[in-house]
Amino acid sequence: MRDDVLEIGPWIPGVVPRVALVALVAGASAALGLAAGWQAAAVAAVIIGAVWPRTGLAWFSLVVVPLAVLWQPIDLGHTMIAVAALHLGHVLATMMLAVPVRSRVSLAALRPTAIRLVGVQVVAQALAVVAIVLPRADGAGLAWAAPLGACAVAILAVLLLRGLDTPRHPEPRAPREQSFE
Amino acid sequence: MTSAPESASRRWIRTPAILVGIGAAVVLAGAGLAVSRPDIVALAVPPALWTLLVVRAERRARRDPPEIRIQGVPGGDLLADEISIEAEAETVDLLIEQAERRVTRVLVPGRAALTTRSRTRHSGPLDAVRVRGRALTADAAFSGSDETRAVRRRAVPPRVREIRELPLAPRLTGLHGSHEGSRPGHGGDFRDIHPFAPGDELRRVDWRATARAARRPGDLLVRRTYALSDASVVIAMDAADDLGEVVATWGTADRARSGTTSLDHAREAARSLATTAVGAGDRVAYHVLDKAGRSVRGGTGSRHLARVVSAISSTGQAGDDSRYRRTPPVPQGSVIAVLSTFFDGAAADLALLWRASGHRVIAVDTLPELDAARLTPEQRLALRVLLAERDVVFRDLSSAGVDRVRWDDDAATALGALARPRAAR
Repeated sequence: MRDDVLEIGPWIPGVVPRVALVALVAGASAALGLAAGWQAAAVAAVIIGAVWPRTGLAWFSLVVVPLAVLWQPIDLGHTMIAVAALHLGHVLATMMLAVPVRSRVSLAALRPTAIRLVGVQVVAQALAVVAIVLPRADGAGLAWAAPLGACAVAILAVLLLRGLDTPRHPEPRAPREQSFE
Repeated sequence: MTSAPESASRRWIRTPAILVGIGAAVVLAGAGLAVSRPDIVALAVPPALWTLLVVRAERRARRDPPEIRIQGVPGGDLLADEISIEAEAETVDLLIEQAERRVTRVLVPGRAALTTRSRTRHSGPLDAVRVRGRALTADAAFSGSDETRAVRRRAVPPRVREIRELPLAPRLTGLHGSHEGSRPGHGGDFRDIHPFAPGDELRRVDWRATARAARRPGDLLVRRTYALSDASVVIAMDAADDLGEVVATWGTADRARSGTTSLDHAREAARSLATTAVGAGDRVAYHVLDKAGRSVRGGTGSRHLARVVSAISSTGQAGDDSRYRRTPPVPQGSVIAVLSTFFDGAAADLALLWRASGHRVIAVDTLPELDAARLTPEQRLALRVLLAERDVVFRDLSSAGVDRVRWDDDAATALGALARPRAAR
């Protein structure tokens, strides 16, 4: 028996979110049919981002997901994959800042994250289906949707920015990689 | 043990993930509208919803630091503790240090109970579990600005070694106990034949001796015996040094690689001596030779032994004023066991002082068997000089009549050999 035992219930190693993010970016870029060069660049960026999370390259590597969707014709399957990959990649990249490689993450601690992930995905995938099955707005029939969409984007930006409870006094600079001092 | 720091300005510290989420949502929605691609607009939905949810979670979650409680649980021969976490946040980030050697970082839910088990190689005071924790919420996008600390400190009792017999003081003065004293009384062996005096019991009259040796009619001779007396054992522990078997670890706090240390030996010797003395009905006092050192006054019985063992178990290395040695008061006619490595001579001076006062003093050498591996030639030379100086100290002690016992596997035999001349008397 080892000299020191710590029981926290079922857990995963802290390296799992990083490995999962690398696999996610590699898999998504391959599934979305990106060119080999872009795939290599995305994987290289996400690996560097996984090793040094504070570089932010993990988020940068996710840029290839909308680019891959943009460069190809509209496809429901690709869109659904992209919606899932972008969301999961963002969550994993966020967690990487707080979860060191040599830590343990209790599975019970991931429950709120999993619930939020599923909830957001249900809504986002449904909206993606609705958006794809709508006729494209290149005809005169749906031209009115363009200014409506612009207004929606503006309202979305205001909503998100107002959601942040910005303190009056400047707060201490947020650590890019969270750690005990 | 509970800890919860007070802070007037508790708040969540944001990571860049929030700004990335907002930026991604706005840019994707705008780009999708600009190029008339509903699928690109659909990609803006997850980051937008995620940002709204986590910002809501930030507002709803209380910003109090996590409450951490540590309490001991039964663990057999292991140190077992349960860590209870209470926090309003989704997740708590914990840094757990077990037995002052193993550090583990874990992320657990806001309400959780963890169990730690550690096997310790050393006796004495020990921070069995140290925990630092802070709250995380919303996929770790926000972290608490305050940190909570909690410590579970334990006193690990040393082993007890069986000692059959302890050396006794040359003159025992007590009137209760199991040792033969120097005064006339009841219970001991034959002392002498003495003329009857007022106060002598009639049943003590030795009629044969009276018939044979009485000089005048009416003279009576009584048979006197020694009184049974208790001994007083004083244990004085020098806590200035805590030197391990591995000389390369001297001067470091590396207890994981040090091997058995001198204080481990000292605590084991102190407990063994105290247990043997109390078992023989003797009085035991315990003193730590340090300015703030603990003292337990003389006493006997199982309760007193428990007090002494508790004091021994909580004796650790002395602090900055470790060079200072105080001289605790000791009763007349005591056996004083000075437990030390005898490196700096201060404990030896005390032993000489007590010896000069007429006490029987035993210098118990607690330095473990040394492992000089991985030392440089200069360090080896320094070690040889130190050990040579120690030999000089022991020679001085020996010439003053102080007995020396090295605390190793043969310590019980050596103590028995010291006790033998008195027992045979």
